[in-house]
Amino acid sequence: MNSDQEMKQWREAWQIEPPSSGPASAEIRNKAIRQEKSLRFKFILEMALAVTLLVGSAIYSSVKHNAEMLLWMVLVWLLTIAASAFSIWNWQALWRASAQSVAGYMLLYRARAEATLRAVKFGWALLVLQLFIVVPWLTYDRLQHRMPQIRYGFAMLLLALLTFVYVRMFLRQRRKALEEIQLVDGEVAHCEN
Amino acid sequence: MSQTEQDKKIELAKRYEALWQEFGPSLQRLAFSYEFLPQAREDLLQEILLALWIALPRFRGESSLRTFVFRIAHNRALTHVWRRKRTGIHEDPESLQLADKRAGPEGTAIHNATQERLLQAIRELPLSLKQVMTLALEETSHAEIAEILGISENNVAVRLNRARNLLREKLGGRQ
Repeated sequence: MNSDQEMKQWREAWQIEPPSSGPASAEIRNKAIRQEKSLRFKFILEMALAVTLLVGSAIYSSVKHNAEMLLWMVLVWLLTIAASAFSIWNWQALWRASAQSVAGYMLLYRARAEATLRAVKFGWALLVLQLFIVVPWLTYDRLQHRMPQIRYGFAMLLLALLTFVYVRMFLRQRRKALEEIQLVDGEVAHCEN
Repeated sequence: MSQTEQDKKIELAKRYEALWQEFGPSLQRLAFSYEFLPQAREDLLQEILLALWIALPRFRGESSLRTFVFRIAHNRALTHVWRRKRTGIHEDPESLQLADKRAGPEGTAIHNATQERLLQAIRELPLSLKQVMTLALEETSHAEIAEILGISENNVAVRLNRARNLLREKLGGRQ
């Protein structure tokens, strides 16, 4: 084969349409980049809420100044600190991609979805624990006639409303996280086939 | 934003679109010759496209559009490779774990065996030879290659000859 023929053959092979790396790679990377701002915002909001709860409960119990309020404050502090510690642990190293590459962002996107699933599980546990503490506590107060009927009713209604909001939020977050994991896994599978 | 500025932006977007239509496949092939991993290729392609978007308003037609595009693309690819070597970006174990899955022998979605062998052999060429060979495979003339890479035509001929011999050797070894 002469060199012109050889070059022609190479050109033909070279100019075959190159395959794509998968339809969603760039999309996932862009999503992961966009997530950064909202994650920071959510984290700041969580921490602000935690500080508000800690300070608020301390002020409230110092104003009321009785054993029950002190116990209530201790519970609020324990649960808030546990939730904040979990949040810090859960999201550590997930703020930015370790490598600024599509692969790095895809891993980060999947890891964040897994962190969301962990957060949802933790949220369920915390919600159930809070309901187990608050409902008997308020009911006991009501049975002891330390709380008026109307206030008890309002507290229960508020609790039911908050539970409904949290349950919906957890279900939505879980569904979204599972979709995100599926998107990354689908993209990996696309490249494997 | 004034009407003139808006018109300019629309005009630029149109030029960019036309450029992508004309050179998109060549740029994808170029990314293939530099990067084995799919995500790394995607990154390189995005970097090249961004560089072209930034540079396009400065293009005044002193050289051909083809020369302009390939010069930017090759310069960007060189920067990309140097940066990767310096930072070891794809040596991140987590990235590698995913990359391996996606680009293993069965995973690499290259449907044509001849193209796969050729791409692999081109990737293994030294940088200076790889540049000349990929441009030659895009049917770029010696004069244009010289202009793109900033070397003499004689030098292009010498490098191309070396690249051919090396490529022949590598492909021979694979068959």
